Order: sequence, then C-alpha cells, then structure tokens
Amino acid sequence: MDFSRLVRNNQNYKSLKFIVHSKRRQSSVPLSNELKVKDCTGDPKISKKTISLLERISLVDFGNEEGVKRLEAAIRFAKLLKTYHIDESVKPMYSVLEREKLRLREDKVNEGDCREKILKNAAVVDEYYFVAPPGNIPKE
Amino acid sequence: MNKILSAPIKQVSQKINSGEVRPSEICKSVLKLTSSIKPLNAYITITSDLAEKQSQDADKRHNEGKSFGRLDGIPVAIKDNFCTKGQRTTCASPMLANFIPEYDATVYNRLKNAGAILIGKTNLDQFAMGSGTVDSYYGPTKNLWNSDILNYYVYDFHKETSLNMSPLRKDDWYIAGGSSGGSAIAVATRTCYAAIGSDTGGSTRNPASYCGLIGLKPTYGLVSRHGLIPLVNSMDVPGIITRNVDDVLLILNAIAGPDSFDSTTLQRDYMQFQLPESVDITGLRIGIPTEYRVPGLSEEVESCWDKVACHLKEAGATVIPVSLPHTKYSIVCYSILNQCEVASNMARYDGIEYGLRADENYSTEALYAKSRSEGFNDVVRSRILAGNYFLLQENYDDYFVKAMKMRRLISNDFNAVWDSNVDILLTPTTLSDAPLYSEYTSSDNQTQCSIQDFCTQPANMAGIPAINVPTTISRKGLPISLQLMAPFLHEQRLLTIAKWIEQAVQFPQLTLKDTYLLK
Amino acid sequence: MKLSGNPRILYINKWDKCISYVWYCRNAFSSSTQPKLKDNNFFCREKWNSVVGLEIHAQIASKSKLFSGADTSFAKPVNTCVSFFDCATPGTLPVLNKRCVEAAVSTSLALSCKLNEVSLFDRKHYFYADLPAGYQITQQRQPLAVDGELKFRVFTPGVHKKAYVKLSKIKQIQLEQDSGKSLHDELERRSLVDLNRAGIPLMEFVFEPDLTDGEEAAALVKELSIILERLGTCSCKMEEGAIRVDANISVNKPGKPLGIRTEIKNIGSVRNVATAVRYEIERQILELEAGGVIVNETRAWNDEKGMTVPMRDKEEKQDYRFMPEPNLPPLHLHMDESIENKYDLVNVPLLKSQLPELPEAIRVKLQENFGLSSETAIIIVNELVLLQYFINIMKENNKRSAKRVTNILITDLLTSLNNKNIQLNSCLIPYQHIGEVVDLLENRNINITVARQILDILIDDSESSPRQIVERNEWFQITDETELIKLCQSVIDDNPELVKKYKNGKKKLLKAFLGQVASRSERRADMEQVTKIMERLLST
Repeated sequence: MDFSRLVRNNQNYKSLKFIVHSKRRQSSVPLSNELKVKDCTGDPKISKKTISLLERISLVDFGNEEGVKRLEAAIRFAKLLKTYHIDESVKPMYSVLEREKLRLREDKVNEGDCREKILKNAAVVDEYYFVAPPGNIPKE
Repeated sequence: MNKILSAPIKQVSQKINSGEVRPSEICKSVLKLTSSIKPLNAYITITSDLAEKQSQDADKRHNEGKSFGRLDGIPVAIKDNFCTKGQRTTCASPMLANFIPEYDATVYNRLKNAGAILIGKTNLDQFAMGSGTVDSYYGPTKNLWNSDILNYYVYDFHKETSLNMSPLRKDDWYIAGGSSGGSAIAVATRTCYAAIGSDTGGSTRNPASYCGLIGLKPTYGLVSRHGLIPLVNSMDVPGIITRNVDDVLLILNAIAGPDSFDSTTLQRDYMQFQLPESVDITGLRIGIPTEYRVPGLSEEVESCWDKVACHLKEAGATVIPVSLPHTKYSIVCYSILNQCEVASNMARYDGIEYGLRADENYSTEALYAKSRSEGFNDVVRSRILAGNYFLLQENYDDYFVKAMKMRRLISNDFNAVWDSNVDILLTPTTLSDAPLYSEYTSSDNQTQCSIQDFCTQPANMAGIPAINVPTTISRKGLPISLQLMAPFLHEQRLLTIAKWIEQAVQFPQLTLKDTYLLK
Repeated sequence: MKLSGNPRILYINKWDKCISYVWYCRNAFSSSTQPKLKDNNFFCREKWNSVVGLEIHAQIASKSKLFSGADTSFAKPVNTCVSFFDCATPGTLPVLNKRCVEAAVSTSLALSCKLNEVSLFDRKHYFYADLPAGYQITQQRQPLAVDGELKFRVFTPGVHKKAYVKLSKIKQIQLEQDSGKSLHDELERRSLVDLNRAGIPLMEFVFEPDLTDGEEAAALVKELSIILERLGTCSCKMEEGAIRVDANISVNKPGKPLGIRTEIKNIGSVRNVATAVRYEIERQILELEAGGVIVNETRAWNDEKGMTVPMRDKEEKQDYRFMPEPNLPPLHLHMDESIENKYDLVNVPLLKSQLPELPEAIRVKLQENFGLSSETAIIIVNELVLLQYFINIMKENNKRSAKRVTNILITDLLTSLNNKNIQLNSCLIPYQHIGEVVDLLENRNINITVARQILDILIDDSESSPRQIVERNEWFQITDETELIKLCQSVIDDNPELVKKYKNGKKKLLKAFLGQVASRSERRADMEQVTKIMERLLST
C-alpha cells in the first residue's frame, strides 16, 4: 500500500487528520481543502547534516528537493502519533507471534554446497568469489 | 472451453477426472487468452514453456489415474514477488529484473506438488509498495472492468438503476488496485483460476475489491512466507485471489500449514478447513465497527455495507455496532512500521550477490549507493530514507517504539471485540469502487490514495484473517466489495460467512463470449 | 622494570601493581611484536589508572550454521558452505540451530549467568561487502543470558612472584551471526568476498570494564578459552579465528573520571591481547602527557608493526538502528525441572547436570590432592594436553611424585617440544612413556639429562618405550659405588694441578672435577653420589 503517495503533498496529512478526528459525515473525497488543521503543523525542517547522515546509512540518494519534501511529509504524517498519549504500561508489540515459542532446527548440514547456484545471480564473479570494489572508503 | 475457464475449480477438476477435458487443453486455451488480455498488463512473465510441460505431466497423471487431487491440472498465477526456481522473479523492480531464483517459495512448491500449473508471474507495484499496481517497472496493470477487454465477456446483472458509465478518455483507465493488481486481473480475466498475491496492508484484498473477486488474507503464520520477497515481515502474508469462496478454500488447504523454512509459521498441524453445504447464520454476532464509517466512504459502498448487514440480520444474525477506538491511528502506525522494516529489508540489495549492479568501482559504498539509486524507484527510496530517519537513535522512541505500542493497542481493540462475543466484523474493503488512473495519480486526488488501505491494514497489524467479498456493481459499472475480519485462526468461520454472503448477493460472474471462442 | 630484555615504560595501575605477563606455556615470550614506544619519560611518569573491558566473540562448535543448514567446517573451498539464506537471497528466512542454543546455555551456566527464560533477536544494521543482508542478526534487547562472572588467576612466570585472583563481571552473553570474509586485492582495487564464514554461530561475551591491563585481559581470554574447550562449545582454535577479542581501553588519573575510550577490534591471539592492550594504554598515556587528546575511535592491532592503528571507517559514530528481528519469534528455554517440557525446549536443568568440571575447580583439586602450588596448577590446567598427561600419569601410579611429574611436563617436555618447534597438541607421546621416564628418574635408573634426551627421542619416535631407549643407548645411570669411585679417582689422578689448587682452598674447583666425571661417564653418572664421593676423595 502506497502511503508515500499520501504524504507527497502537504495537504494529505491534513485530510487524514480530518478522517482521524472528524465525526462529521462526508459523502465524497477529497476533503483536504475544507479542512483547517492547526496543530501538528510544526514543519519538520530536515538539516543538511541529517540528510547526509540518512544518505550515508541508507546508501540511497534523496535525488532532489522532491525527495527531501517527501521525507518531511512522511515525518509530518508520522507526527500524528505524537498527539496520542500512550500509557507507560503499554509494551511495544513487534510481532503478533510474541507468545509463540521459536522452533529450533536440528544441527544437521543439509544446505549450502551449491556454489554454482549461489554465484549464478551475481553480476561479477572471479574464481568463485563475489567481487566488490574496495571497502572502508567513506561515501563522499 | 470458455465455460470451463469460468467454472469453479471443483467442476473443472471433475471434468478433468472424467476425461472430458485434458489439463493441457485448458493450459493451451489459457495461454492463448493471456495474449488477448495483454493490454491489461496482468503478467510480467508468462511461463508458457513451464506451463506446457507441467500440463503434459498432469495429462499423464490423469491418464494413469494418479491424479494429485483437486488442483491437479488447474492453472494458477503467482505474484512476481514469490521466488520460482528457474523463472525470473522481479518484484517489478529494475533491481531484480535479472534475478532468477534457484529455489521455490513454499507456497508455489505446495501448489506445484498439488499439480497446479504455473501460467505466469503477475504484476505489482515495485516491491509491493503501492496500492494501485501503477508503480511497476513493467508498466501499470489496468482493471478489466470498464476496459475494452470486458467486451470479450458476458455477465448477468440486473440492476434497478441503469449503469451510468461516462466514456473514458483514451489514455485513461480504472486501476486494478494493488499491489497484487496483476494477480487480480489474471484471475478476473479467466487466465487462471486462482492467483497468489501478498498482503501486507491490504495488497490482496484491495485489488480483489476493485476487480470483483474473493481476496483472502489468512492469519499471520498460517501460510509460509518462505520465498516471498518481504515488504514488512511482521505483517506480510501470502494472499489468495479467486472467483469464489470454494476455490479460495481449495487453495488455502493446499498451501497452509507449518513450514520448516519459516520460523513464523504456527507450529500446530494444519487441519484442513471445510465449509458446510448449507450455512445457517442464526445467532451469529456480527460487529460493525463505527470507526470504519469514515468521511470519504462512498455512498454506494456505505449503502451496500448497510444492505448486506441488513441481509444478515434478516437471516437471523445479530448485527451489533462495535468500537475499535484506535483504528484512526492505525494507518499512521502502519506507515511508520512499514517504512522502518523496509529500510531494513532493502539493505540487502547492493548489487554484489544478485540484483542490479551499477557501473561503479570507486568503493563498496559508492557501488551500493549507485546500484540502489538506479535499482529503486522514488517510492522505495523514500521509504528507506524515512524508515532510517525513524530508526535513528534520537527518533527511535518517538516513532518506532511508539508505533509498536500503538500496534498493541490496535491489536487489543480487536481482542476486546472478540471478548465481547462478537464472531466476525463486517466493514468496507475500500472506500469506493476503483478510481481512474488519472484520479489516482493526480495530486488533487491523493486523498483517495491515502485512504486505500484505511480499512485493510488493521487486520495486518493484528495478524487476523480477513477476506474481500464482492457484492455488487456500482453505477459506474465497477465492482463494490466488503470485508470480513475474524479472530486469529478462524478462517473456517470467515470463509463460511463469506460463502453465505456470496450466495446471498450473487455477484455477477464473467464468462468469455461465445464469439470469442477459444476452441 | 625490564621485560623481555627491552626497556619499558613503567606505569602504575590502580592497585599500584606492576604489570606482568601471563604465561602462555611455550609461546610465552616468543612473540615478535613489542610496543615500539620510546622509553623517554621513564622516570618522570605520573601515576595513571587504566581501565580495560573486553568483548569476546567465540565461534560455537556446531556442524551447521546458526540459522541455516550450511556446513561450518574451516578452510573449505571458497563459497561452498553458503546456503541461500547465508548470501541473503531475497525471500529466505532464518531457522535457529538447537545445538547453538544448547552450547550457549551450557556456557552461560558455566559462567554463573542468569539465563533469560525468553530471549529475543535483533537486527544490527551496517553496510559491508561481507555482510550480505546489510544487517547482522544478534541479541541486543533481551540476550540469552546476563549477569555472570569469570574468576581467573593471573600469573606469569618470571614476572609475577605469586599468582593472584581476578574477577570480571559478564554483562551479557548473546547469540549472533559471524560475517563473511573479504580479501582485499590492493593491486586490482577490489575485495573478493567468501561467504563460507557468513552465518557461523557466535557467542558474544560482553564483560564489564573490570580489568586494569593487558596481562589480566590475556589471562581472562585464556581462562575463557579453557572453559569453552572443556565444555566443547568452541574449538578455541584462535589461529582459525574461533575466538576474537575486542578491547575497550581508557586511562585516567587517580580520582579523576574515566577517560575517553578507544576500542581495539578483532585481536586474534592471547599473546596479542596482552601486547595490544599494553600498547594502547601506553599510547594513550603518551598522547595525553604530550598534551594531546584521545578520540573515541576504533583501532586495529597491526601484528607486523606491533602497534594499534586507527581503522579507516571512523567517521561519525555508527548508528546501528537496532530493530527486532521479525522473522524469529521469542526463544524460550525450559527452566523448571518440575514442569513438563512439552514444547521440547532447550532443557536448562538437564544441561546444568551435564556440565563438566571447570578449570578453577580442577586447579583447586590439584592443589588439594597433589599439593601443587597455585602457579603449577595454573600452568597444568591452562593446557588441556598437560592436564590429561598429569591426570593419567598419576592415575596409572598414584605413588609417583606429583612434583616430579609436573616438573617433567612443564619444564622438560615443553622445552623439548619448543626446541623442535612442535605444538603441544601435536605431541604424540603416550602418557605411559612419560610415566616411565618419571619412574626411571625416581628409581635413579637415569638422571635428568638422560631424561631430557629420552623425551627428545620420544617426540620423534613415540613407539619405543623409554626403557628400550635407555637400553639401546646404554644410558642407565651408573650408581655402583665402586665404579663411581673409580671414575672419580681417575679424574683426580689426571689433574694433579687442580687437586693442588683445591687443597689450597679453591673449593670452587669441585665443579670442574664433577664436570669431568659427568663427561667421562657420558653424563650417566649419578651426580648426587659422585658429588659426595668426590668431596670425600678430595678431602683425604
């Protein structure tokens, strides 16, 4: 589901905001222009430093201003959660299987001797090695 | 043959067993049909050689009386984010355009072992990040409904009000929904009887809703994810798209159950679900969550929702308004968790072991960055960046941890409803019928996109089973559907009630016109 | 203070205890790497505290990998032990190896840890060519075990007069995956990636910074490796990278807050732990005394240059963005004997009952039962081979002198092996033979010189028995008094000048006489008797 679309322009979160808070019935979409959302508008300005940090740890580029705007919109949207107070006693739920018991595998060798198959999808291979350019050179 | 292609699997299977038709004949017709429906762009790859081979093997088994069962010889399609050995698996992304897995996803493996014939790999949004199947490297998938291709088909539908179909612009069409839009169109067009999709926030139910099909999202952990290229591991489930509830059950029974390759499959042995011949819903308690009655819900969907609720009531069920108070935060919560997991899951695509490798030799980091920028579209890149932002130490608690806490509240909402003896929930699947491509992609109408998964993703947050059931045709001539949600592992109940609704609403079934004879 | 013949900077740790070296058996001082610091400031050095904490990675001895069924054997052809999961093929999922959990549980029990009944897995994100998924699966939030301790003895012959006991607390023990290996081809500017090691199971031990110097650090690593070897949970072959050590080091003035720490990554031998930590402490002190600052950075130990060097990727602090591993439900352990283990969980009480005797208990026993000194007990227990020799030799005949046995093992056997450059683990001499050498000595059939010669022969030829060797070479000790008197008299007769000098008071010359007797008897004479006889003859 593409929620990046919904944060692509600044109006979107407002309409969502509307959906979230309004009990008033509306018969059609869109609704964004009818709304005046006052809170949650603290525009998240992303610093140059954060941008370059994110690019380095993500190893993808923002590309252009649009990319940065998309991030800002995503953050704005996410900030809606902040408006809701959650009690301290509520523990994070990382999986719906948190009460399940992890099944364990017997210690047997039954995989892995398949070098040809492993290497088949690699674009560059030499003497059965995968090949990468030199490491430990920080991204410029 | 045209009738056979629209028949329920059980009937087709009987015809195969009786020798009336051979699997290879069905396969041939289906392959021929795939080229006729090509303009809808349902498939990324048609696996014709494999399908022919598999169907001949099925012929042989049937001749020798060694049929594998109901699915033996039945054509199916699989979303192109499930690994299929020797068949390229692209995720509709340039990143994996040349990726040919050397192993089969468990879901496909089980279908194969049941004798199903793989017709092709279906289209999706890149890495399943979308709800329209418009963001594919291989172009968008178009809805069958109100397309020129629909003229190949006939369907029975009497409506009080006549259809109000405005003529389409030449370069416009109704979207198929997504991200499993290709799978939905593959099934809708009768090029296969069932298709596997994936469902992270509604990706199976959403296109099923727009294409007038059954779309099942099983309980998390019931069906193996081994071989499903992940979007959000903690929410992804293989979904099933078919034309009727009986078919969805057949497929579910073939693919569900514990898998030693997936630690998140539930340990208990899978007991095959069975549906009663006749369904009695007397005493059934059906919850109608008030929070799903949102602004933006189309009148048609809403009245359909009310009508079906009314039907159920008349048949003896108790219809109760219920509250899932945190529903409104679910979409935000979902978006954060989604982006965080995407940031993590996408880290493996670096061009070394597989996938697109850019022409860059300065450093490992430079190669990764270039490959990833070339291989991922804006949507994927944006989610990675946003996910990593939420995961930064200084933001971690405010966003990621908070979203996981909200997830618990959402899950608790459902538990509270079940604890108050509600058996099943009835809601819309999508807020309207299928939007036009131009609407969907225009900035003016992005609100619509923003609420695509409003009704569907809470079930993924809680891991519970949910199903899309088509109910009627809108004034525009497009399918309108509703969603049922049941407690964890209550597929039996879910499908039983879906079947009751299916029988009650008699959603029109498409059949290829006689003038468009395949044989 | 002089160590290894090189002048060294003296510094005082927080207990004002001089730095010493730990004993590594035959390799103790053979390392070529020594810190290359100048020894200026030698006399004006102020007091510094040094604080050392270790994180140790030990590969778990298992047949298959932590999350896949690929082989874990060492030195297999490149990329032949790589499952689809190990090379991060999309759609593959982790499945945890039971043996690895059992090994980590046994180890945790041996280190008095508190086991978590439920533990969780997390992803730790960073990009590296030999980390194909872009993250490592580890245990951060809720590891397998916490709050343990390791008590060990620190002792280096020649440096420490006495052994002392040290205790380091263990913060946590976690299961995690190893990474692959990159070979850096500088010439062609590229890395060659072999994923055979990717996904090999590791136990990571996170120790509290309770240590003060390299010697303690090395002693801790040694003790841990003995424990793991006894448990069979790790091969402990450091030459194969089975144990790797990261050391966090800082220095501060007494009474002042802790200094900024640096981390030395991936130290691959016990010897290097001592030298690298010592080097880094000294480097930090010099840096600070020269008015410099210590930066929080990751350094590597360069064995050839004998120094720590900053690693190149030290930009900003890494943010690993830990995240729960969504593909692994919680790991449960069976903790309570009185409850039925109906889910077939890893059985903690059962594993506890199967724990072998641990080295410290063995040392105490050796001291109590055989009267060994603490120092001897340390050396014997530090090498499994020596310990087995000792136990077997004493079991074969408990009348034997424990002291004589340990002397033969520690001094003579190790020296002979060292001279021939043979690893203790490759020593094929049956314990019965060594026992026989001890008996031959005990019965004065041979002297110590002959005993050493026998050991030299046994190392190459473990077939012959010591008695056969002695017979073949006619090495029996001459103990017959008349024969010895004859020998002594002949030396006296041949050296009238020396006799004159001796009788004039140059008593030191006795050694010269004895030496001649030894060589005339081809070192077979019982020198104890000879000394007495010679003194008697010369005094008449």
